[in-house]
Amino acid sequence: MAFISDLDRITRAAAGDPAAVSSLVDRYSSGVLALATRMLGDASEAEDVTQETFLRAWKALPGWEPRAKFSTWLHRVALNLCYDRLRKRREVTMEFLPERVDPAMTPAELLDQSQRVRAVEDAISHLPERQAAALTLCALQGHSQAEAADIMDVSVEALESLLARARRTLRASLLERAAP
Amino acid sequence: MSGQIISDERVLALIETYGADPDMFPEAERAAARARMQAHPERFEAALDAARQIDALLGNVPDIVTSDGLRSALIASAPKAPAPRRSGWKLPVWIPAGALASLVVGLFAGMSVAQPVTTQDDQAEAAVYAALGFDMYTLDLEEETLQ
Repeated sequence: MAFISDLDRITRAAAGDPAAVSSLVDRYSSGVLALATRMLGDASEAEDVTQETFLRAWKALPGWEPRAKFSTWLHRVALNLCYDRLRKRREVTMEFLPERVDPAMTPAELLDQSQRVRAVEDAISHLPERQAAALTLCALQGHSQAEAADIMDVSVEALESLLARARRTLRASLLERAAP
Repeated sequence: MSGQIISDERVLALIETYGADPDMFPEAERAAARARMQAHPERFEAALDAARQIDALLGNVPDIVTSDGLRSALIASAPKAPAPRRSGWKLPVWIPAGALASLVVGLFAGMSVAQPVTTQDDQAEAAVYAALGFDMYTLDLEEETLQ
């Protein structure tokens, strides 16, 4: 199969080429959706963010200048949309925050797999937003340190600090839940 | 082989930041950190154990995949290619109809104000004969005489 760069895809997608559009969606939508899901902890809101992100991408395509990688730009847009939603959420009453997972469970032994996964997902979505973003981008999505720092618009040193704090907070949160 | 020297504190920081797997460390420090961990495993054991617990939990978090419905919605929201240009007449009907009407009116007006063709012919003929030294009256007389 011939190598097709993102720039080729973008150029063709901007001209309405359905194959290029599908290719961009297939290549990046899951990453954007996963980032939004981890940040927001809500599948429906994450889908809304994904749609909004791609709408902005489609609008940006005709004048696209490859100053940043398309995936970096796309994730940055998604992340900023998540920050906006989290900010608005903080402005409303805390009563509507999703319920925490049963605090009687321990992280490693007594939970079944699905409970453990839910506990971790829940704990990630309750991390401070920049810690959640750093952890999701690096530990769950496999972005390089430089890419993740670029998406978050922070230095690699700041990213490392966020990551270390995220892991400490996650551990403390899961242990707290596991406490009898 | 990397000749880079890395401190224990930095290795501990890398473990705390990126987890127990050195493959997740920044590439520039990976080899040096791995060498340090192999040379002094006891110094990093506790940190590695703690990191492995979190790594295991994070490793079980499932990937999130775009549903077919969302995929279709994203594709549907994308720019569409311009419709292909149809061959044949593309102007609105009133434009050719107007042009035809203008032509008819123009022809009619032109015929109404135009000089009779015979008059123009006579004038042209007179000009030619005058140039040759005759006049139309003389020629007419000669024709009548012959008849």
